[in-house]
Amino acid sequence: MTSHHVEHIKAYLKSQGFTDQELMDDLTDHLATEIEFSMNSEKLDFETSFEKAKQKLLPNSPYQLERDLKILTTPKHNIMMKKIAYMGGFLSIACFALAIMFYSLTTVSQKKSAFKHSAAQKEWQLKYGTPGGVIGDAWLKSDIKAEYDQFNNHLLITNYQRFTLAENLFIVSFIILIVTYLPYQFYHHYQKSQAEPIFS
Amino acid sequence: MYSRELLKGILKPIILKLLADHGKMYGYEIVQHVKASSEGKILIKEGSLYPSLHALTKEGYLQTESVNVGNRIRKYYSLTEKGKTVVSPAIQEVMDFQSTLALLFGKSKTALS
Repeated sequence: MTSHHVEHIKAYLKSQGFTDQELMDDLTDHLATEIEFSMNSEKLDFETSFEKAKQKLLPNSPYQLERDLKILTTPKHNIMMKKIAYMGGFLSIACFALAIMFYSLTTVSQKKSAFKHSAAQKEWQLKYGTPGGVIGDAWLKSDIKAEYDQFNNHLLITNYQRFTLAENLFIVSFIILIVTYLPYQFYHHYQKSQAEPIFS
Repeated sequence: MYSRELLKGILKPIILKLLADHGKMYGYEIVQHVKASSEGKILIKEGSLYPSLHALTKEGYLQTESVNVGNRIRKYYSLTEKGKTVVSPAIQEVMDFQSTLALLFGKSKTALS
């Protein structure tokens, strides 16, 4: 078997998604030994022997081998880390979504207050004459203005509470993401990079 | 040929026993040896063999020695000192299990075959 043939087998395994170098070495040797046996005993060419070996030795989805290996060799702390990362990711997104909701409510309330102010003025104009005219001091002392101010004060307090809650939820969301999910992602990519040669 | 599910539990004892008897072996050799010794009744699939070999190596029961064979790397597996200590208990456990199965299914050969 030539080095070109061996490279061909390795390239096939890589194309199937294999990244574990140790496992790839084992499978390359296993396939190559089977191919050599076919080429010598049955006098078949490399391509035919390779196809036969793949069908005989590898499962329908060859990458299943690496998945099985990962399940068998993944230490318990790794599984725990993964669980924490998923939980952290979920909580982070949940907090982020709630933060956006409370922030949006604050913005909507501000708009509502502006509409209420315009509506109250219009109501006063209709009630006390001068519709479309100048609004003077009488408006500032009116019961409609007093009612609006009461409504607005209540809204301001609620908005402040909502905004503070949104702010805290944003912070909590980022902290959870930084503490749980990001370290797992970095560790996961680091593990993957270990399986691939730095220089090709 | 026995089902994969049936062989799953006894694959590790088989590997340990083979390596205890033969010193060092590579994957293809293990598959062929088991097939020949069991008269073709036990066919170890590569999908089961290599995950088990790697798991045993990670657990410290096996060690590997890489040898260049015709442009490729061949890995020979052998028992570590820790691995040698678990061979007997592993075989004993399988034999006990066999006896228990005999109790459960009856001792006649037909019941087990």
